[in-house]
Amino acid sequence: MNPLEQHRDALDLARATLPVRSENEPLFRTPWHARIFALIVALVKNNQLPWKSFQQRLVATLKQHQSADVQLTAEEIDLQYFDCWLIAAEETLLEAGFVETSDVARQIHEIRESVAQTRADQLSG
Amino acid sequence: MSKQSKGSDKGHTDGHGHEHDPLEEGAALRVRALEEIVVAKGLVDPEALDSIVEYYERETGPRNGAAVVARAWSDPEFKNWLLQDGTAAINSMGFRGVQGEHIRVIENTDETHNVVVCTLCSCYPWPVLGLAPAWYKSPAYRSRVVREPRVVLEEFGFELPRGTQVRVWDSTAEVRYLILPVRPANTGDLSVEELAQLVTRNGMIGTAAV
Repeated sequence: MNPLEQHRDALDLARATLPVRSENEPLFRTPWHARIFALIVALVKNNQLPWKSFQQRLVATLKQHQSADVQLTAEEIDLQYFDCWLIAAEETLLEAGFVETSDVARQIHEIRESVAQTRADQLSG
Repeated sequence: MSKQSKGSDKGHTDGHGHEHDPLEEGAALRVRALEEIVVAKGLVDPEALDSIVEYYERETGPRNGAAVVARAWSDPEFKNWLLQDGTAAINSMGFRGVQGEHIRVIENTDETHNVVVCTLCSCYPWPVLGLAPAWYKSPAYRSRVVREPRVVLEEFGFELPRGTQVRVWDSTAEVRYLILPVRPANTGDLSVEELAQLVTRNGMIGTAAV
């Protein structure tokens, strides 16, 4: 099963059980926000990564990308924030030696190929 | 399970017909790739990722914090413990963080109002408040609440009495703050559950009275 789809199911299930929230903001605006958030939390939880090493990178990345002078909507803040979270996460994973730049490129290529193949099969089938 | 199989696997055709397939967005694809590599190396279990997301979606959130506040309002002994060792008192109610962070609880009084920020990023007491709202993460809030807390509070529609001082607490990776608001007047006959319903997330960050 596609993990993204599985994740979305989990989100839907979880959302269904949530009480009506006075704050109308969703917890995660896109599935990948939840995913990269959880990936870092899981590594910290497994003692593979000190929270601090990720957090320091997040701080540095936010500093680079954000400006207090620009008015942003709540959605824009979240999107920008998780963009920074992703950059910091990838840098942390690279630094920890958990991934290598070439691994990421190769994995992306493989996922793309597999998606293209699945689509081609759908069309022909 | 999260290993993407290649070729003509028709088992995961779900969702691929959507107009906005997340896999076509660069970031979603990148996250998927990172996750697959880390999972393939056995560093994390994909099911653990699902349960983390589910946990934050369902089980954490401001209602946990509200339960803590309501109990402190009704139980002086618990309140003392909470103010002395917030982490332990909060853990005793079953709310725990994954980062081993300490939670310090700061009490509002008629003399002093407290408000929390994380000037560097968005450190936040997840176990009791869930994930930070967007405004808490905004560069504007993070920089301005330190410089002009009263103005920022007014923008939240919260006007402090003139004589009340404001203290700003800057969260870090090690210490997160939870504000214990002043118990509203005329609530003496409310149950703990009813009291909890009065408590808002912003009240526990300090950008609202309760």
